[in-house]
Amino acid sequence: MDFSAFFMQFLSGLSQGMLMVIIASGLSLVFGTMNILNFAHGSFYMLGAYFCFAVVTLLPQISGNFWIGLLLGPLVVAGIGGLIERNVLRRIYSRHLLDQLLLTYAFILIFDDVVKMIWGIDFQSIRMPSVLSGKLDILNRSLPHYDLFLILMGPLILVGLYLLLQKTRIGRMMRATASDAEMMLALGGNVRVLFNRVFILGVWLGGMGGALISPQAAISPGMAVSIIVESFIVVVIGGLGSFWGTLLGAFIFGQFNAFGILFLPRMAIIFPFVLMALVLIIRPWGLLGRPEN
Amino acid sequence: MLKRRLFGVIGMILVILFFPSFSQAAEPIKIGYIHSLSGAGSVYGKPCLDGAEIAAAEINAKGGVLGRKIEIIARDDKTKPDDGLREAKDLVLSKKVDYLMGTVSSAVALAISGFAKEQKKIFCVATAQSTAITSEKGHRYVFRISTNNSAYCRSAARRAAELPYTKYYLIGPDYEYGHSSIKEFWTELKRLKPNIELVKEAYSPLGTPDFKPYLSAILASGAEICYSSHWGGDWIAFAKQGKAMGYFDKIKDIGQDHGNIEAALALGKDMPEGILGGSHYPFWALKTPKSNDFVKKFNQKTGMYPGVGAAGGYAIVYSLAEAVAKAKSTDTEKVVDALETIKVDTPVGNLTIRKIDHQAMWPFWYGFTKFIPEYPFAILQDVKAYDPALVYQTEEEIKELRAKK
Repeated sequence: MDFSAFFMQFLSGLSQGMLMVIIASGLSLVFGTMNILNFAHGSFYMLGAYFCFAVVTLLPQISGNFWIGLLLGPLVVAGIGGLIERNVLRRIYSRHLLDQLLLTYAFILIFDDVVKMIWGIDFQSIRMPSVLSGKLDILNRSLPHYDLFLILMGPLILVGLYLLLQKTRIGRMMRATASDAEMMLALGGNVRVLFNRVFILGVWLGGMGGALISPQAAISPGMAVSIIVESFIVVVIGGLGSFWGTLLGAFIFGQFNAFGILFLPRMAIIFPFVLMALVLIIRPWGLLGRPEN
Repeated sequence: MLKRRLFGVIGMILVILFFPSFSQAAEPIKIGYIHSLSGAGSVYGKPCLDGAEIAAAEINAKGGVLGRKIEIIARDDKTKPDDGLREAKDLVLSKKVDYLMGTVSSAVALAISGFAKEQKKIFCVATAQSTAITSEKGHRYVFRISTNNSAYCRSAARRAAELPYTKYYLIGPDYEYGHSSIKEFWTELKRLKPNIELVKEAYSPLGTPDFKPYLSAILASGAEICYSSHWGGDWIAFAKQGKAMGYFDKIKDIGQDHGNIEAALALGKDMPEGILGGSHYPFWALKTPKSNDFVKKFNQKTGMYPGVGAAGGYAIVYSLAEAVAKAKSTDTEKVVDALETIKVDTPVGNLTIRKIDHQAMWPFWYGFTKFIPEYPFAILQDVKAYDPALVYQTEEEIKELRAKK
């Protein structure tokens, strides 16, 4: 096997990892700040894809319709997320983790049915935006421009998120809430509003992941479930609530998956799970996470 | 006024009393239809019902069978064996249907088949493809008027054997169907063409969104051709990502569902050309008067193109009607005997039903994907089907499977 094959496999894994980091960082952010394990995160990913699809089909004549969908789709999903936090999730913060899981799981079922009612059960698909439909020839292989775009989008969004959390007032307040919500409350911070903003941001990231994959995958009601499992693996490997841990987790997940498929395709499915199990045994708080006291 | 109405009522009572045969003749032949009418399976369940209703309307317009009209009573099995069985019981015991038909899920089909055997009621499987329904678990009252898994894997193997490629990569979804299809394909291909090489074999989780690592691994493997049992969303994602990567220019692709009309419509212009896909009903190539007429009627009724579900629903109603006409009775035993001997004119051609396993000898076509101006999806070109006797399990195989049970 030559170098170009390795390199292509690396790039395939990288593009998958960089998409995963966008989705998983939303899950991790919400857990890190709010202590909510949002099972419905996969549904927001699915809705992101569907809303992007809806915009594209509503504006068939406009050449940049995918970009409008990519912008609007995740925003609409974030709005829905904000409403859910405000009216439903807020009521169960003090409850047991199991109640939260059940409630967010219920949203998966609800959104699946809503999507079926609006768009039906057929597989939907949108075309690749024309500016990115070409491919780049490197080392006798071709890398689609869209994959290159995905590889760049992951770090770009992550850097944006990092700047938001480090350099802005709301970001600092979010971090303060993450480290000690009660102290934040005692100091007069509006934790309620902050939680709402964090959830909206987390949901936006999930929706963005869905919108980004929509030109490459089949959009269907079942897509929520497969992604949530992978997102959990990424977050567990990297460390729940750890910002850079999610990036590392997604990168490792993508590479393990890609090279597992290259060398042992019959057993490739188990690699990410084995990795997660190893991390849980050796460092239960994840590679870059902090152990709980 | 009242008197006149009373007169009418008395007149009707007299008619009914004195012409008992008249009222009996008006009693329709009832077919209980159980299929997935909600959920993901309804992609097949709804068109199948439309196909059955078109057939019933045609037969009824010509006066029905033995002077009786055909009536279809439809129920949703929700793709669950429990629900399917409950609906079957209700249809037979309280609605008193004469025959049962339907299902896309093989698990539902097996549940209903067991009940049909116990009740001695004919059950015609419409879309479910597991070979076990008619082979190991087959019995006198179960029929399948559609293709089955062995037919399309073995047809694929025959077509692949004619191609010059020898280095194979095999890939499929990681569950029973994905694995068994690959096994069936490979066993048959190895038998037909022993000098082939299996480079590697991979299984992806059902619903994988990202196939790029698989695609680049296949490209790196040195394989010339890849057989895949992916279908639905998995195939759509595989096709889109592969096309963007130029994968299909380097690796010959073959798969039973890769010419499937539902996926072809979803993919639209993103469908790669030149891949070897399968079809249960390539109406664009058959162009028989029967098929053209059916496509037109189906399109008028639904606005869509007919696929395996639609053609199956239509063929089942016609088969039952023809068998009843031949038996000159709706009696189950006589109709079973008749079904084993009739030849039915259907959109996919003349169908006969084999006595040993009650499997219709429905051909399965393979051809290369190609866009032509007449259709909004990629059709299959140079379609070819093999003699059904070559691609369905042989009598010996079925006897052996049943003996093992």
